[in-house]
Amino acid sequence: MSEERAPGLTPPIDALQRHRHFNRVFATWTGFGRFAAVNHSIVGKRFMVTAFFFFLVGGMLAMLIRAQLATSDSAFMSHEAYNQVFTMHGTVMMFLFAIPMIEGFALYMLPKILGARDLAYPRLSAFGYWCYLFGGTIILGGMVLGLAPDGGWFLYTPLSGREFTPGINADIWLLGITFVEISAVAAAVEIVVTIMKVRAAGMKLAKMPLMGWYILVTALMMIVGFPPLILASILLELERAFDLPFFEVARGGDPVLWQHLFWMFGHPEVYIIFLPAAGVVSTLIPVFAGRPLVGYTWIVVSIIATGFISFGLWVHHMFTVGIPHLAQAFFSAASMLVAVPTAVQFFAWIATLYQGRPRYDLPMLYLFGFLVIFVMGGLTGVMLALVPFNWQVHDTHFVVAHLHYVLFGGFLFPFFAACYYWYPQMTGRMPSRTLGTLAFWLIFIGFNLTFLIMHLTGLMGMPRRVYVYESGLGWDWPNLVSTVGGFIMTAGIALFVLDMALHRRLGAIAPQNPWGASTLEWAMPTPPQLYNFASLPRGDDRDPLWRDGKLGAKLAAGDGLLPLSSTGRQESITVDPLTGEPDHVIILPNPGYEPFFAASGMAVFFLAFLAGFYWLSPLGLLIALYFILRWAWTTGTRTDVTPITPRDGEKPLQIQAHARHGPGWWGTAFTLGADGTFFASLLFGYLYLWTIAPNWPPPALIAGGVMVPAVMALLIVIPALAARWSIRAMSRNDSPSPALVLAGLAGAAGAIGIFSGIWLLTPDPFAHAYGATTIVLAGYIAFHALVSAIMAGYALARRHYGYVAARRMAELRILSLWADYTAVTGLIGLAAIFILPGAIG
Amino acid sequence: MIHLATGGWGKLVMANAGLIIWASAFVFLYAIQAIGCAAGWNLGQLGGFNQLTVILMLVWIAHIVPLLVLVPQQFRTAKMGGADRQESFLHWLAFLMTLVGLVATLWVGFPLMMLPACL
Repeated sequence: MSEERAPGLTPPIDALQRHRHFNRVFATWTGFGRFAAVNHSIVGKRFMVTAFFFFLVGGMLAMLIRAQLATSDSAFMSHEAYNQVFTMHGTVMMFLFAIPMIEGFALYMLPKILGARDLAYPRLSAFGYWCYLFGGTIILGGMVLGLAPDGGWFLYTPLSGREFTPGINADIWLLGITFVEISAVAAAVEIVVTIMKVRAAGMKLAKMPLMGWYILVTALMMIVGFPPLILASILLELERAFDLPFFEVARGGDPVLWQHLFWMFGHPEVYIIFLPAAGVVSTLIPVFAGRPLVGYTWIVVSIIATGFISFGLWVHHMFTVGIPHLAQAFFSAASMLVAVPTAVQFFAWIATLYQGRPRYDLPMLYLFGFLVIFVMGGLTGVMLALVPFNWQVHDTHFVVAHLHYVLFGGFLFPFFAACYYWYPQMTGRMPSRTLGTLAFWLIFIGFNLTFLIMHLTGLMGMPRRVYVYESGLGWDWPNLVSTVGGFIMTAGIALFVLDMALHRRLGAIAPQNPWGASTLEWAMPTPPQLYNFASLPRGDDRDPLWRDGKLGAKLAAGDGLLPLSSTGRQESITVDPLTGEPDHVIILPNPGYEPFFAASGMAVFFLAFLAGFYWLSPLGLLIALYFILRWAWTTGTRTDVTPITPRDGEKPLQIQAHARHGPGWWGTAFTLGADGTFFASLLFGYLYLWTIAPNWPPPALIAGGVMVPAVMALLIVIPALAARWSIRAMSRNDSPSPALVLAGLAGAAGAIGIFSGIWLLTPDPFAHAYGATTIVLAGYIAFHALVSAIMAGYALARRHYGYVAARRMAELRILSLWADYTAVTGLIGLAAIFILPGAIG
Repeated sequence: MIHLATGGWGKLVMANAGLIIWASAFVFLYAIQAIGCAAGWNLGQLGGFNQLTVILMLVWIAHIVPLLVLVPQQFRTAKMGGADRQESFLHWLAFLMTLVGLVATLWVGFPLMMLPACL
């Protein structure tokens, strides 16, 4: 064991002592204490295991579908059961498997490939996990009780409205999915801030592993893409629960608005699923080609371009709803365009294999499956982007075949490759090449048998979502072939599961870096310790392990940064997002129950809503709020802390509590980014109904004159000004308390005054979509004003207990950011409510 | 206030400028087409052409012009290189993304020349 003297802190220690030291610092709890775990490795694995469970559930549902369709006029399932089964198959696979699996992978792997000890907000990811688990349980519970949603995974209105779906089936979908989406947005914020801030010292953006870019763009897409669906779900639930009309034509609503909001989320979702899978491909191919990936910059451009353009495709799901040809052409053009950046990545992968010395191994076999199947899915995607062809095959099995080629080829084959590739890293054991190879061929043959012929079934006119079909239409034999293929594929997946389960205990012990990889997740013992690195690596090389094969041993011996925890707490380094220069030391949280109880509070909220106990719902929110504030309370310090020297000769770094814009501020900023998308979607809905929906203009418009909106605007702006005043006062060592009191009072008055005032002035919100959307806009503004008031009160308490000082103003800066956002969106919202109706009339 | 340029965020925003302009073009073209059709702007004529089509063309051109200005500028900057590989990477990133933005804007707006606005 080599010896290293930690910089001016302790006597020399060896690698084993260092390991024991960090094991104490990063210790997690056992028994019920497992509910308190927040470490990224634990939470990431929980996400992945839970998502895989849902994958198996979704797979079994798929087998039920295939069993039903194997023969014509099948009596295997009733149409009610079949509707629930295909709805749940899509819902489970998209919301409870694919996205959470990506989140879990990112949460587990990011700190390891970026050279950090944990994520920016470990408790937020734990909170996200519990939200996901509870939301998923609600949805699955509905199925067990025979109350599963049955309107398709996109839950189109008016079918999903109260009139045509009177039970709670649709409510289970709306509330369960919203709960899960909260988890997704939380994970996305976590991921973005981690990639921007919590990287290895010196890891410039130009040196970041490509997986970092893929996950970064994916998470940004989630921040922008998920809020429209959350909004749509809230609006439909308000319509179903309280009879506020948004999608009902007779009262000024429009069912096509649901389709817009759903697909604004739904199409980017495809790329949200594909990009991380492409990241796996871009990570694995260089390893097995034995050379760096060709065209790093081109690939980064392709990733970002895919992220942008994928938001311009959503209407291609709606080509048959009667949108003008020109608008369809815009979306058709963008749908074809998005194939180009994907093709660039394909050529880069092929060029890398061509220029390298490719070697065959199990993960490469699955990548071969990906390359073949995804190309085919991509090409049928370009066919579907063409409007006339799209009309012909709309809602047929051709579309089912296409989407499975894209999602299975684009996500599941890279997923299997990733499982085999990182299995030794996660478990310290090797999987079986024999079982893995056999599983591959069963899955590959079974998949193509199922879905290749399904293109033909669709071209012969078989529609989606029918539970029986007549004999003699030519659909019998292709359906039977698809079913046989489906069961072969299932056998392959069962073998894969067997391989993963058996070799966790029985597999050969894995060497340190069995594939000869170049990235930092292999520069640690396998399976990894909770602290990841005994000392933190530098990130000045894209392929650090190819430059220095002994890097792992050196880091274990303390040859990196922060080789001991001088504070006795979990430490990592934050960097400048662009240059990678270290700027602060981040103190990571110990285990705590707050995320679990906060998510439990949210579960109370959603379950009470589902059961129709609307009066009980706010109690759930209060429980969640209490635990979130409690968890926030444990951050920061009550005294200024001496800077920490990460290593002899290095510049001392302040802890993040002293940062002008610490991780808390950045997290709030990106959360507000998601919030802003939500608001923009709400405005879009409001304007869409004004301009497109039938039965407009409404019978009556809002009253109010000039004074009422002026006073409301003032109440919205005062907290923002007061928050800035509090920062200026604190900077001069004056008390910020008067400013905070003003911000709190104005925020509270604004919340109550704006909502009640607009409620009184608006024409009956139950009679027309105009009143309903106006009330929702008012509620949005009032909610943000209320949160400003709570944040001001919280900052006041933190100041009282000494957490806020001239050099520690995180609470004030976050309040200011929130209040600024509230002021801007509030003024826009008030203009939409009071000025726009008069202008459009 | 965050100092965009010094903090590096400005460079990141500039690197994405081309696609941000594309996104703006896409949103405005779709929104104005929808509003224009609902408001009957397509019923009038402007210079012998359909009024709404002319408006949409102007919106399209208003987005293409800044891209045409940015592309050669960013190409020259990228050719000059940078203080280090990071800066050079960002310059090439900015150029390529703007080029993508230009091609995407031209491609997506192209149907304006072929289809009536509200059919």
